[in-house]
Amino acid sequence: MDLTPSNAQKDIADSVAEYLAAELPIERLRLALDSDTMVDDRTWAQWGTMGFFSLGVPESQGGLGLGLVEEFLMFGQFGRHLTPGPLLSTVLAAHVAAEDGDDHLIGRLLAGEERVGLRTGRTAFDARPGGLVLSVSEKATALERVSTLTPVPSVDPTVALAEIEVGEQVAHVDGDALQTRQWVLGAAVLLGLAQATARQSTAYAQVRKQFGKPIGSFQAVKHRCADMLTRCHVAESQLHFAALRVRAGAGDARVQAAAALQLAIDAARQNTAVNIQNHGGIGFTAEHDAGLYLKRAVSVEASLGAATQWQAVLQEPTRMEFA
Amino acid sequence: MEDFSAEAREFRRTAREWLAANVPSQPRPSDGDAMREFDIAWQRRQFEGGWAGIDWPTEYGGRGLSSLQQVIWFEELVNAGAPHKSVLAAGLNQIGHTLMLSASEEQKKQYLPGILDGSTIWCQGFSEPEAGSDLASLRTRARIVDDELVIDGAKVWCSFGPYARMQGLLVRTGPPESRHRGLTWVIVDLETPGVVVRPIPTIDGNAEFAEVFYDKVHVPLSNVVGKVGRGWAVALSTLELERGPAFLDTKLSVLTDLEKLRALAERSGAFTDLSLAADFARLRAEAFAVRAMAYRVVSPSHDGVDQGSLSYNVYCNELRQRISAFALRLLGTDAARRDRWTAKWLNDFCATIGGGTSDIQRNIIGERVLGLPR
Repeated sequence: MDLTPSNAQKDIADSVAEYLAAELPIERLRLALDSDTMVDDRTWAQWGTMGFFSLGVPESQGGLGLGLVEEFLMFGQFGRHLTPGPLLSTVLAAHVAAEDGDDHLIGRLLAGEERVGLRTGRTAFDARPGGLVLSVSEKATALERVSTLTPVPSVDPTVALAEIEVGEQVAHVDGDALQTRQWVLGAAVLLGLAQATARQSTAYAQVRKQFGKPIGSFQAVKHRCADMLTRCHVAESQLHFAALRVRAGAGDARVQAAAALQLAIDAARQNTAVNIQNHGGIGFTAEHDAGLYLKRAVSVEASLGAATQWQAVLQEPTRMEFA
Repeated sequence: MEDFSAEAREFRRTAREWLAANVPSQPRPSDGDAMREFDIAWQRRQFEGGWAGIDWPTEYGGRGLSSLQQVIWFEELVNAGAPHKSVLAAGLNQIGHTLMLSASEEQKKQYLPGILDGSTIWCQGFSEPEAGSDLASLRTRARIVDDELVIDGAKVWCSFGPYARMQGLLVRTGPPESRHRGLTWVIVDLETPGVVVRPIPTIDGNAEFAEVFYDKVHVPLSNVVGKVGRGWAVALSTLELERGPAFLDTKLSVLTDLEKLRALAERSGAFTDLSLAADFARLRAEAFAVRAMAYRVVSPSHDGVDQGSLSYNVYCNELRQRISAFALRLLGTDAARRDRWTAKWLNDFCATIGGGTSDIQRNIIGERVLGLPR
């Protein structure tokens, strides 16, 4: 049992992080906030070339043949950098297409020629008129074509929200395996938000002075920062363990993934919120990034559907499966 | 990142098999001689079966296996319903590791085997009436006279002190204002003339705590662990263990506690209250992380300095309290009855006090891990 990423796995995460920091810093995201789309087609296609959508797809189907561990490390970086665009649903769609054996669709998805929104009930995240949306449940994961789309206002300005109806089903896979994968990758994004805000608060507490001292010297602030760090350690450990259990096809894989998601949700919710308090007045302004993290945490959590799904798994009897 | 190896799975299988045949079938008595005899017998059984000190070196009676195997053993121990509280806990979790880290070879050979085979009960002597969170202000005084220390003072909150024969004691050998620079860590036999142990009943009514008084107690200098005046470093190694991976069986017991509470809720229909059901799901997720965090600490490619171990302790201790509070909510009006859950609820109040309050530990996380100013 080893929960530490290997050097090769770290390299993947680091290269994604370097790219995002250089090409998509939050200042640049802000410039796109008023435009129709946060990510233009050229960038989306570039992400295809870079392997964002093909990381976990088998080599025999044109993917990079790596696994869930590499995938979740990449998604952690998407969270930390507030990377916009329907990345999670498009990556999951590539897995649906791969399992469904639809080579044409796989080719388009991996090349970044198609982006797939995420649907929960009537609400869709980053869907496009006539485009594809993914819906995920414990029974099946399906890819469908959007038939009607009515934009609705979104709390998170980096996400396009809409009420949609769907028509033709393009592909589908039975079972709960892809939902489990969604929980792990969703947890990674949320953990990334929790980590980024923990760092933001800690850095600010070191430099912001009041009463002639850095505010981090006051226990009220220091303890909040300590708790932010602890939430990250807790959620990260569980996420790594869950990813290994899912990759191994273990009997407890799904409940471990459910736990990872619950902890990442709690960490993201609490850290993004307390980050605003730690920043005081500036944290309440639109000029500061704290609000973007807060809003992203809400939209990612909502995009995963009702909490009762993973809570039901956590309420089942478990004879502690320790093997 | 790697899942369990074949070796780890095989170790787990043999541990599980042995525990199934050997875990005491009687419940652990909660107080007195019966409790002491029970704890000693159970430790003796583990020792004779070759299951004591999994990751302790073989020359001191241990098995010399890996930290991962030690974690697996604790998991299986908890899973098998074995008692995880013991009058021997201070020796097994704190003193033993302190001696391994800081004691002379002679001291290790003399004291470590007696900890593992259950023949010697130990307690710590750190806190004082005027030195709690501010441990470095302690005043129990030791003068060096020839080849002896002569100790005068008082210690308090010594867990299992009323049962202990030996004590790891932190005393002031430097000047009164020397703070952490003037301390010495010394082994004291509590039957030495001049020592008086007064049991203090804890919140659940059991005499688990003791106050210990020292009146011109003579202890050979050869009982000093480390060097005279270097006791702070020795004590910190103990406290760090206490704050980190020690007491892992107690930490992991949240998993089996929750399974028992789930069964209780199923019988009473308590989860028709959806807020209880949702809170249970969250607690279970939190309990799973206790296990994952243990693996993180013992991961072979871990860089050694575990930035998370302080967090780990605060987290586990507060989680235990949340679970006990949840148990009382599940019990409803039965919460007024004295039973195992209400006893546990009361007992768990010590979780965020012993070994340094969680408030102090948050300061340490803020200052030492995050680098925030004092």
